[in-house]
Amino acid sequence: MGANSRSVTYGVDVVFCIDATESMFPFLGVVKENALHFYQDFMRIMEQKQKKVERLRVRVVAFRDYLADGREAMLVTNFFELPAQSRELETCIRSIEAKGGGDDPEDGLEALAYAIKSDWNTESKRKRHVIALWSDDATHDLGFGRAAKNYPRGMAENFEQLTEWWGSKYAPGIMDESAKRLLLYTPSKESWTTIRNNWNNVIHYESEAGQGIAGFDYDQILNAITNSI
Amino acid sequence: MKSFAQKLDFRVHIAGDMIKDHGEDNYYSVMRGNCAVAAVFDGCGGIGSRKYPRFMDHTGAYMASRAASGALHDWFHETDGGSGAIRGAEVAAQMKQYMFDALRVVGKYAGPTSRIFGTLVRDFPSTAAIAVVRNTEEGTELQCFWAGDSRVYLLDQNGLAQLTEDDIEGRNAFSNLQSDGALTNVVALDSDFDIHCSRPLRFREKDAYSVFAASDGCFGYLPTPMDFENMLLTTLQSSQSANTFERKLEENIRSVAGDDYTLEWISFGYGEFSRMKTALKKRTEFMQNEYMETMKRDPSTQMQEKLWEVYRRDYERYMSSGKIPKVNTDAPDVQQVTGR
Repeated sequence: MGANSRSVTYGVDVVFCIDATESMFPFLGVVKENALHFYQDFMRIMEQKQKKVERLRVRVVAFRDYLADGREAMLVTNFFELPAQSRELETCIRSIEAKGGGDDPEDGLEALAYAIKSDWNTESKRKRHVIALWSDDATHDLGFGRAAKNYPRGMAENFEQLTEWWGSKYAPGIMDESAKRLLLYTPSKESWTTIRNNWNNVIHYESEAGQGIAGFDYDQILNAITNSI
Repeated sequence: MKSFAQKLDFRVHIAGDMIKDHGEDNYYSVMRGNCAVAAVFDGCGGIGSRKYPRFMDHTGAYMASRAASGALHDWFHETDGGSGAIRGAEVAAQMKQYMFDALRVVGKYAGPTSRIFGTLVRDFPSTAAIAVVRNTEEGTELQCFWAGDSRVYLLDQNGLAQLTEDDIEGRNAFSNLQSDGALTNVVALDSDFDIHCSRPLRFREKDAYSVFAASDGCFGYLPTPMDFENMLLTTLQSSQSANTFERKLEENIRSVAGDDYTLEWISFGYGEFSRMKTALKKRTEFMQNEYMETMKRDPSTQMQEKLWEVYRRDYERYMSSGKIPKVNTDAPDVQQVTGR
């Protein structure tokens, strides 16, 4: 019985949400490397598990603080098709600079909202829709920067609505319940702990922007993301 | 009247790891006195991916399937296969307690682990699919116990039948192959779980059948449930003995599996292997003519779905009676099985 005709194929979309505020300066280089390695390592593990990826796309959301950083508060790309656009993706990620941010908390929830509302691939039968987020601090309340001129229309009104957008097995949100995964590399600060304890399909690596992650932990994360649940 | 050992024809054991020595499946198979058990356990690698230095860096999934299997061994020997229990639901409760106690011991010695948290991470999760066959005066009685998406199947001249209902966010055996839905109930240390219990099936001594437990590595990588039955039947027809069948079936499963795979099989009532082949020959031809040839001519998903709707009438013939509710004060219904 030929394995090729039977192999399971997946469509994989990954959104990288990267805190690009000034306090990230010591970590940003490592975060960029982690992001660039992540999709390659993800593909390697999928291949090891004989899960063939028929389509892979990656999108980037770099976030700061709407009130402090104005037009540079949220930098959002479309999906890059990989491997065809891998150079463009690398250029994009390497161009992110650590600057601005104002006070300690950032507008990480708005970045998550952008990620959740991505134009996900719905064509593949089996899918993985992964959001990976790196930050070294807590979040503002959702809508904290609403007074900024460039604050987006149609943003979730509050954390409760963002939670509805994420959805649950009883009340699915915007994303596919079977496909969605949220991976947080953040400290245990507001709102990350609330999310890790209450949203489904979440993995939280407790650290400042994933700093100090060991291969041992990294493998576990990749296994959790790639496997069925 | 034949003894239980005389009623049992042969057993088949198939198991393989995707990564050598790190397989997260496990099994338990035993026949003693008037009771036989065939069971598989599939440690859940997605939600059980935490590794434990004190367990030689094995994952929670790896440890869970072994703990659950060991717990079933203890249950079998300490309760004489649950023979003291009056109802299936009581047996399920016994099994659950044994498994929970075993996981608690594992948890106690697990020691510190990583900084990984979240709702996608569980402590020592595993599926369980257990077939218990008991000797009766008339023949045999079969009852299934399970949690998760490992399955117990029955195969007789009417074809393959799934006896367990997947604890998965999906609609049926076909859609579950397509959608990769999340598990809704597994054996685990950190939250309550159910060990479901099917209604018992009674067979007369002359009713020949096979029952087997299988992890999803065996059936989850084939396009349709019809392909799985066809694989079993064609392998059987091309085999000269139970040993050859075991070897060939292992080869065929390995060629398609994208995961660890484990299958524990017991056959009753055929007397010898060649009689089993003869008894299932018509069904093999029927599967070829009615399903496989049609899917070969038209391999579209639409055709697969259309054929599945026909096939499932027989495939789900024992599922409509459903599982016994957890709280059940009535004596269990017994479904009499008779050959067509």
